Amino acid sequence: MDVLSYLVFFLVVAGIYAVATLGLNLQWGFTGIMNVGVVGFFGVGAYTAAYVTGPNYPDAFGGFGLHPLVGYLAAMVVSGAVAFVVGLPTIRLKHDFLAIGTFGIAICIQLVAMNWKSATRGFDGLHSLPKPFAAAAGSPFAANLAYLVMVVAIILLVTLALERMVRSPWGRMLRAVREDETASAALGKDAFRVRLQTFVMGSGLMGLSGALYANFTGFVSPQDLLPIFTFQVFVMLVVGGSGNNWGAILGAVVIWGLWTATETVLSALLPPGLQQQVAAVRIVMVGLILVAMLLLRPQGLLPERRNVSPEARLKP
Amino acid sequence: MMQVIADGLVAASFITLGVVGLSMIYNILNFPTFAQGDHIAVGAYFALGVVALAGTAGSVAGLSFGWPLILGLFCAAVLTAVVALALDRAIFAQLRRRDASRISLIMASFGVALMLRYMIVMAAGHDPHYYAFAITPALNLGGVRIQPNELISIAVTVAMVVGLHLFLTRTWLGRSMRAVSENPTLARVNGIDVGRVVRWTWIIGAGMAAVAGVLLGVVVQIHPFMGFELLLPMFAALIVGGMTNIYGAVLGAVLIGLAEALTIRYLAPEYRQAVSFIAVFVVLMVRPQGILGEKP
Amino acid sequence: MSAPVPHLAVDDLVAGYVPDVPILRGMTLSVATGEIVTVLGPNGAGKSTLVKAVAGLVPARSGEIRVKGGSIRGLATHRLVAAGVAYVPQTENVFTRLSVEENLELGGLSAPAEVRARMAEMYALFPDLARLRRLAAGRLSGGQRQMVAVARALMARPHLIMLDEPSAGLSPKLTEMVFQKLEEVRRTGVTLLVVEQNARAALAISDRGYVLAEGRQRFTGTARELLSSPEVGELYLGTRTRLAS
Ligand SMILES: Nc1ncnc2c1ncn2[C@@H]1O[C@H](COP(=O)(O)OP(=O)(O)OP(=O)(O)O)[C@@H](O)[C@H]1O
Ligand SMILES: [Mg+2]
Repeated sequence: MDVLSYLVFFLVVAGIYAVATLGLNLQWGFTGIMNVGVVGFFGVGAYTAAYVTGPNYPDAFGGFGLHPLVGYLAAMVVSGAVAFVVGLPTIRLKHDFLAIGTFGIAICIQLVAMNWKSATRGFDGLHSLPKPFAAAAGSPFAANLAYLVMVVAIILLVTLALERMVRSPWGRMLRAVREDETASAALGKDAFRVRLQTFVMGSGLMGLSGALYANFTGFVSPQDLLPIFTFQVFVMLVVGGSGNNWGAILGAVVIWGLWTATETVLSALLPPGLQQQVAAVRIVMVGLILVAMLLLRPQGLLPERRNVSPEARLKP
Repeated sequence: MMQVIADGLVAASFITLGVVGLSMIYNILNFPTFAQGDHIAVGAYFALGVVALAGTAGSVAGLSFGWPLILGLFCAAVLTAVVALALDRAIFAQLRRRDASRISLIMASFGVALMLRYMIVMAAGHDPHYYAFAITPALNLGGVRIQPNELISIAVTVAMVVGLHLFLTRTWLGRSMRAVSENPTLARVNGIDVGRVVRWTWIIGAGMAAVAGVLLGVVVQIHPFMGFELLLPMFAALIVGGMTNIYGAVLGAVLIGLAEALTIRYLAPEYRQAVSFIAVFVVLMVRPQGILGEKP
Repeated sequence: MSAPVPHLAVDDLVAGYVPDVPILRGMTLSVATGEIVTVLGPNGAGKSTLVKAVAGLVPARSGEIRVKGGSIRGLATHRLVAAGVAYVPQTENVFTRLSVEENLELGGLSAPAEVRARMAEMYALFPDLARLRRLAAGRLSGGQRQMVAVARALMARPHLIMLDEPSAGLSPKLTEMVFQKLEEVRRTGVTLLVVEQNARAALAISDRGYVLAEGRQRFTGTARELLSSPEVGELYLGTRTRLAS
């Protein structure tokens, strides 16, 4: 029972990561646009959900006590809107600008969450967020299981929708945009629109991921907004296979599994009092996995199924 | 007001020393490396190691440091350059050889950045360190209060930027670098060994970052995130000044440093980094190529 | 008596940008010392690829490339200058952000005094450049850039120079001037391989020529033969007229 309840907990978190990884896959895997601020959009989603669904905090903004489903929708919309504002000036430029812009927005979002205490309660965070199913399910285990079912359903829904989209004529345009940065500049307006669309939609998914997280743990704080999160999602996508939605999901489960397993193993091996070192070793190890994958198997565990002619892949 | 300018120039000196390398790496290797911030921290910790071995940071001429730290500065520059070269050899060169996309390079650099940062944590923990605890009296220059250490930072930065300018315009290797940054193929046709230029780019870029780290450690403190916290200001300086122009990057660093000092003084110190981001945004809206950049 | 060793010999060369897509499919060509040889051919025939392959910018999959009898196949591009071979690319052949003088200095792979002397010779050969020496090359006209590119290539005193469409984008008058300069260059003992679209102007100064099509040699002959060959005219102009009438 203990193991089972841990497994459910583990899978919920992996599923939450998977939603963000699917978002990055839409941006990077399919359209070739870079987002170095995944955690920023995740954070916007998490805080949005907290405000929409949370209780009325006396010392912070909001708390509308609405249903979590409303929170999920609001999180997607607000994260997408932030992406729109960031994307508008940067996305028509070279990839580097979007990379730097998204990196910057993520840092700013964390700064706001930390320092705008009258709205965010700073490091105290927003707590007591409603957990769906908690009341109805009876036991915490049943609630988590119900949450897992919901997360899996959302992932399936999102994945099937994405699969349909990327196989449509619109999806083929994404690839055209991805294959060549300069040629897509010649596509002009269309390329710009397609890039912006995928950037906004992908960031919306990252926001959804944040909302799912907020209502699962019942608590959000600036501690959840560290660059490590972005890095984890990178590794998940690279390991799973960028350009493959199922790969993105697989990568999330595999890397989250490794991440939690190493914590257990390292804590057991190293003497107590070295928690900082454990966390650091784990990050270095996952960094090595990222680099090794990029070098040795850049296509990932589940490679993209190509329907592009090989000539279109040639470098100029 | 003069005080704000002085504070801004001090902040700008660290940004400048970091962004010059960032700009060179960007122009020659064609991607913005997210590891440049952590080169700064790595350098600071290498010097800390030397000072720890010597047992003291020493003290000369009213400064809070002396020969051991100066020796540490040189060791830090060399060792950080070696680290950057090794990382290039093991990772970035391999990716280039495989014709990896720029996004892969950016991602790899992000991974390298985290690895460097947390290797520091592994070795030295999260707590801040200092080269020395000696307190030096601030100088009063016509009403502007400035630490001798801060003056040294500005002076070293100016000297290094001038030196770099002379190197880039007067030496064959420097000119080769400018040539490679513009057109690597034509550079090879001219008999320039691009591999050698790339190696020197890492050496100079990481070496200057290490100097930034040591100076920042002397003026403020040493901690594992000290370089990461400079990354956004450096990127901002790069964009504000113009990605393709190293002098633009220096100008950008000065502007960002002044903007930060103004924010600290008149707005909210904790939002210092956000200023960089807003500057980036304004510039991208108005003049995407930056102040001194060329139209693409 | 054995035949003299050709200055440049390309033998059954197969080369291309990506594996399994050969652009040159068995190209053979030779240039004797002191000759000017022109390579003609329709767009996309592989002319630029040929000179790029000799320069080591496009990998050779099979075949041989020899300079004065020694193989240079697989030689790194940056070693070519030291081997005495210069190459002027078809496009982007000057450093636009560097001044004219810096462009020339980069071409001269030797001691500073030697570079100064050589630069003086270049300014004598191209007097216009002396006036423009401080200007960024990006601000020059097309013809002036072409002169910078040629002068830059000559800086290291090559014995063989390969030029890819030196007259591209130039007015007829400038074209004539560029070819005149090339003849002067030849008189200093340099061997030239010229890729050209402007067949008449190029053949006028050439000893011999090759016509390349689909990655292979289609015709070869003396400049006079090519000028009067109806097949060359057809390949070139799409009509059965001869280039020289
Ligand atoms: N960088 C490249 N990558 C892949 N294929 C290329 C590249 N450059 C040229 N090609 C292909 O090689 C073939 C020959 O090109 P090349 O440039 O040699 O032609 P060319 O004879 O010089 O034509 P032009 O007269 O137009 O200059 C063309 O089909 C072209 O598409
Ligand atoms: Mg050509």
